[in-house]
Amino acid sequence: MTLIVNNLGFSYGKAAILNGVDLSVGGNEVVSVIGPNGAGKSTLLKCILRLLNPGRGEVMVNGRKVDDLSRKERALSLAYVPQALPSRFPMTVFDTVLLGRRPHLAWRPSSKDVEKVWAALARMDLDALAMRDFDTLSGGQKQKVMLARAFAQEAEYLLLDEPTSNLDLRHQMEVMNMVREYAETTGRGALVTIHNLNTAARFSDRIVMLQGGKVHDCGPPADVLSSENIQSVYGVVVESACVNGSQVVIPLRVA
Amino acid sequence: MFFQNSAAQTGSSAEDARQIRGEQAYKRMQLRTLLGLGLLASMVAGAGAAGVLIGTSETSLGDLFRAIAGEQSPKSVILLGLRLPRVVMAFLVGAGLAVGGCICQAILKNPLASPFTLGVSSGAGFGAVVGIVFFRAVHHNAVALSAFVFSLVSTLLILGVSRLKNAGTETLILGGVAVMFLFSSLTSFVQYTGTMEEVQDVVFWFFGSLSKAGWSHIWVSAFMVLGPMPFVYARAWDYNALMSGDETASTLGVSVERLRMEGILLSSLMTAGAICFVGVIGFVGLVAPHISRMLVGSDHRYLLPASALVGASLVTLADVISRIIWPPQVIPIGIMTSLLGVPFFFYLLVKKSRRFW
Repeated sequence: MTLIVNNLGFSYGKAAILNGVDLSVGGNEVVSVIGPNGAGKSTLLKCILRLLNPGRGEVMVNGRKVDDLSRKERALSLAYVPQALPSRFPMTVFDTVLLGRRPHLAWRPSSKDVEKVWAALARMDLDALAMRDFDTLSGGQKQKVMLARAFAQEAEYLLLDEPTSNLDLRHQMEVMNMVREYAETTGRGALVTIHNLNTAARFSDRIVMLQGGKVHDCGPPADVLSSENIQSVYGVVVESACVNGSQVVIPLRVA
Repeated sequence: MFFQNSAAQTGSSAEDARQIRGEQAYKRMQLRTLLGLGLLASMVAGAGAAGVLIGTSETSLGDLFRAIAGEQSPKSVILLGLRLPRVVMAFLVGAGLAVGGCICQAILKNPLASPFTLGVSSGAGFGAVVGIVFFRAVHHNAVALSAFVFSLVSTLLILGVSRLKNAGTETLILGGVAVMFLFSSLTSFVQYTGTMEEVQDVVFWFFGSLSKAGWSHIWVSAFMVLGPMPFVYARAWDYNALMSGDETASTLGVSVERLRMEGILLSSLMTAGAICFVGVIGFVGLVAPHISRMLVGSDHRYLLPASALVGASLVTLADVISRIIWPPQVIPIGIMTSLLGVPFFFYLLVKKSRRFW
């Protein structure tokens, strides 16, 4: 079971955003994509999901090209949580998470669908808020609801676009713990774009470092988050060290 | 397993109890929604009865039963020949505009959208003017046909524009505004060339009126309003998914662009079917979905039928009021719905309760 991205390229007009990106995500695995703003992280996820049409390269989901999958098959293979939260008509938390079951249900949600939604809500400690309007929640709670929706979708791979960027420390930990646990207990894979290098190091099996639409480095956190790599990609002088078994990056000054 | 985790892990049944409580809450919510729909259905029945029984000449429930039983009398003619078709037409017009509005609000993700946002009414208005000025001598239904044809022309214009720009919501709304201006200036131009009498007829057409509704018109409207409904209803989940954003909807398996195109076409068809015989009846398509949302929530599986019921009762009640408020005058229904709709609209705007949009 693998999600393979092969030589993916994408450009807006003449400006190349992605320039031959290769990566893979296996079952049980959390892979983080890091890189400065504009490095192509979000575009990479959108190209994998076919929200954008990549100019070249291919994406294989468990041995099948993503282009060959029907919409339903794609929805059962790849679940996505975008960076921007939806703003729209009021909808209860429950109904929002129930949308994750759409690829599974014909018309009436079965008792199994309802069960899965409640399980996902309970797992995220959201069940007390289930009948509340989504818009009345805090940013952290909203992000957890979106994640619960993606969990309820039960797709083989989770693609999360900066799930922690607007969250406080505790919510960051909670969200990433859930992603980690989801990958480990269900055997599914997760591909997460992330800005916080320490969070990436703490929760990822591997890190893909993007720069200017290319993979600068890829591998275990301790290898990728070297002070040389970070200086050349972010232009920041850092100290990188291993603390309690996790790589920690301390920014010192702009290079 | 991630989903059956907790009870096993903690070894307690607390999680099970939470789950059961949750499922009961869901059942209660569904029950409440169904009760809301039941309430609306009885409201439609009540409005229909009021529409048939209330008017300048007094009639009773007994008269209605006798008329249905086949008694020939002046009251039977008034009840079954005049008022019943009026009520049936009001049902159709209200349901068509409300469901059309509900679709527009969903696909444009805009609470202020209505079937008229995409310029359908301006197209129909222009068609009616063309019909009144040029074709009325040809056939008595020429005005309605022309209104219908031009409302579809405006829809095709919108579809054409949005096709070029991936059917983004802003493109559609701005395109609708452009189409509206285009057709209102064309309307003014044709009016300018018409006679006094024709201009007067045009003005009356824009007021909207249920007076001319006959059974032959009702069959045509019923076909255009009720025909698309199953197709619309089949997409209820997709409209729900669209509420979470285009990208998320797409990753949930919805073909967003197609859904939008199809929605425009179906809602325009329903709207055109509703207004081509009776003229422009404003605000129903805008407020009916909002009232329905307050009653049954935003799940389109319930919201679409609820909107149809609310729209049907609104137009029927507005018609009743327009008949009794200034007897023996009958105020044109379009004026009535706008008069009743505007305060409500302001109420929504000022209250700005996020609960409802």
